[in-house]
Amino acid sequence: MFTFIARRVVSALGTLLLSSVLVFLAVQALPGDVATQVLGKDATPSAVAALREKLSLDQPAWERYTEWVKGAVHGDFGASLVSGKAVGGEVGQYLGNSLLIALVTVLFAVTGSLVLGIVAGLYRDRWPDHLISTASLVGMSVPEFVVATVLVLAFSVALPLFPAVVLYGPGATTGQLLPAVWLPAASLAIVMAAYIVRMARTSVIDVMASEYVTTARLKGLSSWRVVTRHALPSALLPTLHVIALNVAWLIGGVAVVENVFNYPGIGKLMLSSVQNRDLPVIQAIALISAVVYVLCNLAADLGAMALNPKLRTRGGRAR
Amino acid sequence: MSTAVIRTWRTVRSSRAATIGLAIVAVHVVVALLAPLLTSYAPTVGDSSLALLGPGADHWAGTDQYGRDVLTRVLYGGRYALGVSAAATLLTVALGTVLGCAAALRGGRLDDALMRVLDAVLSVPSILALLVIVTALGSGPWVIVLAIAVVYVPQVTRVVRGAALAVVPADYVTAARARGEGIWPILRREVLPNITDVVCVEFAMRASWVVLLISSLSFLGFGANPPTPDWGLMVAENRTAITVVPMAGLAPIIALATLVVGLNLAADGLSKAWGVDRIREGS
Amino acid sequence: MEPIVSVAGLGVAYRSGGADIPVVADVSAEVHPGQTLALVGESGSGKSTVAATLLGHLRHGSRITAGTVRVDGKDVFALSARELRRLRGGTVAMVAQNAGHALTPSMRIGKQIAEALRDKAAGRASSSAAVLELLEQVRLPRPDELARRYPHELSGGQQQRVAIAMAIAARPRVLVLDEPTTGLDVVTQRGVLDLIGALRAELGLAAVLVSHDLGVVAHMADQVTVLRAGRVVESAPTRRLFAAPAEPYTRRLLASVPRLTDEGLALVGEDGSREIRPRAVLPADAPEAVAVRDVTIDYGSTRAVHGVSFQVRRGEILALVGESGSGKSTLAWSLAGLRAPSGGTMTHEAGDLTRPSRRRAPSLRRKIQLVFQNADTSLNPRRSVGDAVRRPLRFFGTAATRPEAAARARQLIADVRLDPDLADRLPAQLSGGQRQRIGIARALAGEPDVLIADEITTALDVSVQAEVLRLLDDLRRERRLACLFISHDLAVVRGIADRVIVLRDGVVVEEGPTEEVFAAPSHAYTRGLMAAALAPEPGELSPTLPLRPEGRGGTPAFP
Repeated sequence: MFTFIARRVVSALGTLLLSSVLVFLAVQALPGDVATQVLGKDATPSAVAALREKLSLDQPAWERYTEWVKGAVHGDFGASLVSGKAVGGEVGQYLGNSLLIALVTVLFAVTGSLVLGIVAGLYRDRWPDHLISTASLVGMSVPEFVVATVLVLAFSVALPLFPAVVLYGPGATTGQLLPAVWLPAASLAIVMAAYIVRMARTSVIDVMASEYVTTARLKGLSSWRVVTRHALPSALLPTLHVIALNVAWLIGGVAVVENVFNYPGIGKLMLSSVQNRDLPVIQAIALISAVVYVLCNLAADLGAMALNPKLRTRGGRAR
Repeated sequence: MSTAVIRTWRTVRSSRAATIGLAIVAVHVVVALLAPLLTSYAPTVGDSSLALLGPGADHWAGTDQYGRDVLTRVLYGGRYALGVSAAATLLTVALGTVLGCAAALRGGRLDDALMRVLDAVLSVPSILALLVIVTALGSGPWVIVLAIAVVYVPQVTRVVRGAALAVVPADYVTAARARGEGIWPILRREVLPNITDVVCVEFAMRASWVVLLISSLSFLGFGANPPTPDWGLMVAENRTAITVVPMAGLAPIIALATLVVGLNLAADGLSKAWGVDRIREGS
Repeated sequence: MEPIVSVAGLGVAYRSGGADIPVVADVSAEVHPGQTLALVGESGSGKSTVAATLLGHLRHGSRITAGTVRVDGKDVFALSARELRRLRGGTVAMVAQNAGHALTPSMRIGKQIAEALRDKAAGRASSSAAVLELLEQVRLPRPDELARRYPHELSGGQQQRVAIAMAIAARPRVLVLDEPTTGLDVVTQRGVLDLIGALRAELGLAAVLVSHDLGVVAHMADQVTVLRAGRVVESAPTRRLFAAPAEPYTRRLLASVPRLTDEGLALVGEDGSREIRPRAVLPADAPEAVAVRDVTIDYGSTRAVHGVSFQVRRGEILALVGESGSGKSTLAWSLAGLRAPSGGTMTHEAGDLTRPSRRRAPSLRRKIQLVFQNADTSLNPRRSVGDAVRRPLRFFGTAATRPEAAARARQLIADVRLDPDLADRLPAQLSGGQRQRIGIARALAGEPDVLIADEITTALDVSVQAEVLRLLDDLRRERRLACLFISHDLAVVRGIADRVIVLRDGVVVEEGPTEEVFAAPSHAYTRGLMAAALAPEPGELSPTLPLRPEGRGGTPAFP
């Protein structure tokens, strides 16, 4: 069991290291000179030279990379090219705001979609299943910005319950942001839930058709017990990884939704830093996203271990 | 090969969802191709004196803030969405299939290394990767096709690899190995024919994702350049006036949603008919 | 006395493509308390479907079209959900075919058994005591430790015992056993059957045994009902059925079963007559086809084969016998070039066989051909069977042109006694036996002189097995093939092989001409295997010496 955890952690760190290299290469090795890229074609040579100095572009790439990683480990991502402030603090502030949305989204999307998915799977080919499956098909066919737009139309224009846009900056307090969290969270939750619902449904159907569930039924157990004790632990197993991927997806998903609502979160920062070519910020966001991705997958692996005794006792891969 | 085509056709016919889905997609394709015949307005030219009209006899879906006919722009908008999506999906699925099969067949270190790299690529949010590539290389259609391939190839590779791994241990592949056949003939003769269903489903499903991603990109202002008629862009442009002319915002939304619903229905119907597990991003 | 189970005029159908397809039609049967009824038939006979109806269970999409099923006087399919649960939890219990799949992987053994206890109101302490008692009752060692384990930590035989414990936990009056020993090694199977027999007597159970294995049925059942394609062919008390089968189908079925006493291959006539074909006489100067010396094969750090030596001559069938995990298939794959040995030599007159197949010369590769155990997976489901045979013809260059390859492929398909017109079909359109013949035709396409047959009849019904064995025997006579015949079934080996090698844990424990080995096995292991095999002749099970007691240092049967 311990070796299994250790192996997963090591592999997660490996992925993270590789991601950091990729991020660094992608951002720094863009065609053309980075400084001219940032400043635009008609920048004065002296400005370009100053920026080259600032980004220490004269040093070889691997040295810059190690410097960057060293700093990143200590939370130092350099200074923003636009605001001049420390990237770490700035990103942290925006990230905190996004976390608020993410928390609400995950809470509602995961619990809701699991319940719906399980219901659909248990009532396979009957009306609850048809209803839920159709709804999830529509849910995944509509992009986030459309859901967001429709929600605004319904709940801020027609029924003015929630604000359509946020008027506060990144430094807003939780209390100020709280009313603005619900619509973005709902937009994200609808899209995210659609995938989890489908996965949960499929795996519930698979497991309910398995021999051990049949055996449990033929033991004369109640349906509730058959479902909760025999079917669900195995049915949740494949769903876990889909949940993890979807939670990791949130960090990209918020980009669009936050821009619709002008919400001061990481997604908004992502977009503006790309527009302004604020490389240190882009790198920091990409790296943080990678950390989130790796952590989500690690959590799913550990969850799988809790559900699957084969992983615990063999200490290795499930066959 | 012809038997495979007949088989596919039969499957499509046997599944109502797939038939409806493909029909919807076909309608979109036909409309996009015939757009000039279906409307007399130009998609990019507007009369500012006719801005923000509601739906009427002349303009069925109204006009936007520049006085352009919304319906015309929706009809033409399919060209960009379908064209770029089709090219991007083709490239992505082709690359992913080759990589996934190779990883499954070779196994060992190549497989480990490849999956590790792909995992690292996956760890960066696709929208961010897309934005960086597009800002660096410009937002021409070919750049977007390339960028989408970079972002989605890892996921297709994983799905195809998973499917191929189920085929590789089969005795008929072992028999080919025992004969001493090379990797390429085994791939082409034994493995590929047995995963075409997975690849087809993946294609339809991936296409729906690509359409969504491209429209998101346009919505954020990084995709199609104005005044190109594009649905995502139109939603962004007409959003502010949505309380005045709801139809101007809703029309592109409806177009976009029906196309994606069609693709998803096709993917669903095919996977059900073939018994393919449509597990997205199967690990 | 009233029968405890009575099935009358039962019909079951499932819906497919808008049409009802009958699975079972007009089946009637009765079981009296304390008696055992066996439902016998080949695949597709509907025997498992009938058995499951005793618990009111039908597969998804199936329904009852006619007749009734009564258990303990109650019409099973007229019961309310609650009453049905009570029936399942109390009166009838089922032991499923594959215990490895029938136990919930995420739940401890003890808990799964405790769930099935009838007296659920009893406290935790008494229920765990009852679980331990049950585990002891199914003769599992160290029950207290075992109860805390998960299913995957048990061997196949242990899992089956746990499934039985779970079934008798509720003190049922009827036990339904669906192929309870299929997939187990012969010695393990014998242990499980002994247990079932003992429990039946101890608890006074009525039992319904579903099996394709006439040896098992002969020793376990009081009454036998033979099913074919969902209908009853014949029903009679066991002794009478085996002594004087009334129907030709039953006679043919019985005649097809190979026996440990056969002195050659049994040829079965249409009417069920049985004739023993004398073994082929091997000329004294028959050349050696393959020589294997001191071969060891490793999987990572575990050694699957320890220094095995043998040789096969042209026209000779050498049997490699052993239980699962004995290394017999590993050896076969190594000869076929799929896994390089870690030591020793393997030679053919045309070259060195220790190399993997890709590094062998094509002329050598085609000389050694492999036929697979499972004909369902050995043919590419997307390619016609003709294509499967043509490919090696073209690949090895034994046919120079396309038309020639097509003609040769048709000839080969005819050579394995099939209609050449089947060449255009896909594997799924063929029966299991036909597919296995195509597998043989594909192997013959390379014009080999060595054929490796890896458990080629294991997955086949007994009547089909007899036909495939006959084909193999014919072919080696016609083509002077050296054949390495790998099997776990001693009775099959007795009929077809000229010489026998018995493997255990990768080591040869016995070797010799078939007649000698079967007349006087020298090793205790061989004697144990022979004693555990069940002939299709009614009789009480005689107590056997357990070779590998479950759990006590025994290795899992399915590693």
